[in-house]
Amino acid sequence: MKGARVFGVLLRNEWFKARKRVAFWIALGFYAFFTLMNHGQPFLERSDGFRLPDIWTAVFGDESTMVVIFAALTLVLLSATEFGWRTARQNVIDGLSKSQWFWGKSLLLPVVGLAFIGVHVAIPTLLALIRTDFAAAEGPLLPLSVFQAAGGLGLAFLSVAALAFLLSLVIRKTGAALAVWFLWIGPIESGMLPALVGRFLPDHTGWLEYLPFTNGFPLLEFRNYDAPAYERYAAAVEAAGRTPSPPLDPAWHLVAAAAWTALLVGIAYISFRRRDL
Amino acid sequence: MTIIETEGLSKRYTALRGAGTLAVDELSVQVEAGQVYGFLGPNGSGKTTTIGMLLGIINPTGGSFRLFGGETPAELHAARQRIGATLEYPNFYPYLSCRDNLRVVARVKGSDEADIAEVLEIVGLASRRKTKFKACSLGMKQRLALAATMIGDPELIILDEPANGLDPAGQREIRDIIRELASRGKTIFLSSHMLHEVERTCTHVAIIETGRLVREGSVDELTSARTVAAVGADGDIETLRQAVSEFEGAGQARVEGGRVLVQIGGAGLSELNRFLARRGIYVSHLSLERQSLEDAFMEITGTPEGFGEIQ
Repeated sequence: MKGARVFGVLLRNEWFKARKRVAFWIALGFYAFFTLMNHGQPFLERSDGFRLPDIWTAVFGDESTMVVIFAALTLVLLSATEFGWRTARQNVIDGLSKSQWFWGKSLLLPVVGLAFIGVHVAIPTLLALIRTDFAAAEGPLLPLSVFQAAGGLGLAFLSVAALAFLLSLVIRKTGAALAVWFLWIGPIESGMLPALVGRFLPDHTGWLEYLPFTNGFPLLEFRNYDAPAYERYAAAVEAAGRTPSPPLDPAWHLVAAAAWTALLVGIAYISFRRRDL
Repeated sequence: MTIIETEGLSKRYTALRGAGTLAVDELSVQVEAGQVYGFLGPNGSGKTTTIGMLLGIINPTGGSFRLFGGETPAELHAARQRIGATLEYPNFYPYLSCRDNLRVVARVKGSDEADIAEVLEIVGLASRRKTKFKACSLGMKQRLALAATMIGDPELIILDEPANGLDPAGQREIRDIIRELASRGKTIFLSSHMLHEVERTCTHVAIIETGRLVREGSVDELTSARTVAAVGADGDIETLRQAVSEFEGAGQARVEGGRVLVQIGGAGLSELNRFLARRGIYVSHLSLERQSLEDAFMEITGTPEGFGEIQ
């Protein structure tokens, strides 16, 4: 097997293994149910914002964190079990090189991300389509900023999922990899590190917002890509008597997310190549 | 043509403290095309580590090896496409059926999925092709592993303990399949504890102990080099055993089936007969019996109880 054909075969094989796995569909189904519940109430109440194009603010926002977590969790499930079952080793025995196995498995990052983000976007969009009065709609229903926000969400997922992928390949045990991953994105990155840096290096806290998980938050907000959405947000906040957050350029966060993804996948590759199976 | 060639191949597992474990120590073996090569050794002697290095899942820490003459990473990768192998316990996706597991293998090997039906038929799993791996018995799992090694019609088949955990009928089936493969001209590299099976199946063997090669040769060489004299006589068998033990060059004598068995080194039966006659013992039975591979193995690897304990 050579070149692009190898990737075709690897992708086909990974998708074959994933789609035959009940756990994958349970995780995806559970997330679909969660999304449906999340958007069900505003849909049933015929809320003002639940139509195109206003829906994009609800699709791409803080709640997108859940899709990142669900998808990364599924990725660990699909990767780390290959070591418990010793199928990673058998795949290499059967003729894959270790590099081919690694890159085949890394294809799960975009595959799983696309599946979950697809569900995350499709459900509210379809519901909003039902509530949209196309004759009265203002502005484009699908502005370019939607694709930018989707790309931002994708990159935010990749950087966090790359950490989960690295842990899966290094720890090689599903439960332990998930525990360490949750420990990192929760208590360590969001609690201990900011507390320690704030105490001992109070003038150097800026870089903390570029850590893999924290870095993703600005990438999730639709208003950071779409000026009218920001104006709507600012007006709503001011109407509530508060001061809106200033508009945030996601460019550096996009770069950081891409860099984290490359770095973490790179470390995973080197570690995987060096270790015995 | 040499299919497998190792030169000073070594593997040291590192430890946080101390020097680590030397699992394979400068191992040099050669497997020629068409051989059914038994790779023997006690538990922990380095057999699986050696096979793991050949298959690319364990990184050697010393020495080198060639597969089908190739030794660069690209050549070894290409060579491994010509190998069907299973290592230790059969490893498959538990949630996939037998057939789907073989589909994964076929795609990895870049071979035709049409092979699957044929290999399932050969190992007797055609009617159980839809059974999930997790629902398979150990015997079915072993057969599935054997089926997986045959996908893509490989030239070299490497089997590590293929009959592990099987009942005698299952062991016999596996042996028959291996013989069938050998009759098709495949080169087979077989690691097993079942020495009776190896003796019946293999043409050549290598014996390793604590990672080092202690003997290599054809099965005939190994077994005929250790011929045993079987002696029978009227009277007290213990007196006969004692007398035989005192014959010059004799190994430890043991009593088995009313006869005394003893290794007599380079001496012939007539000399032993003369020796016993001089002591007033007139034998009623005297023959040379070829030592089994198991006996040879136990002797070479040095069982603490000695020759007499081997059954």
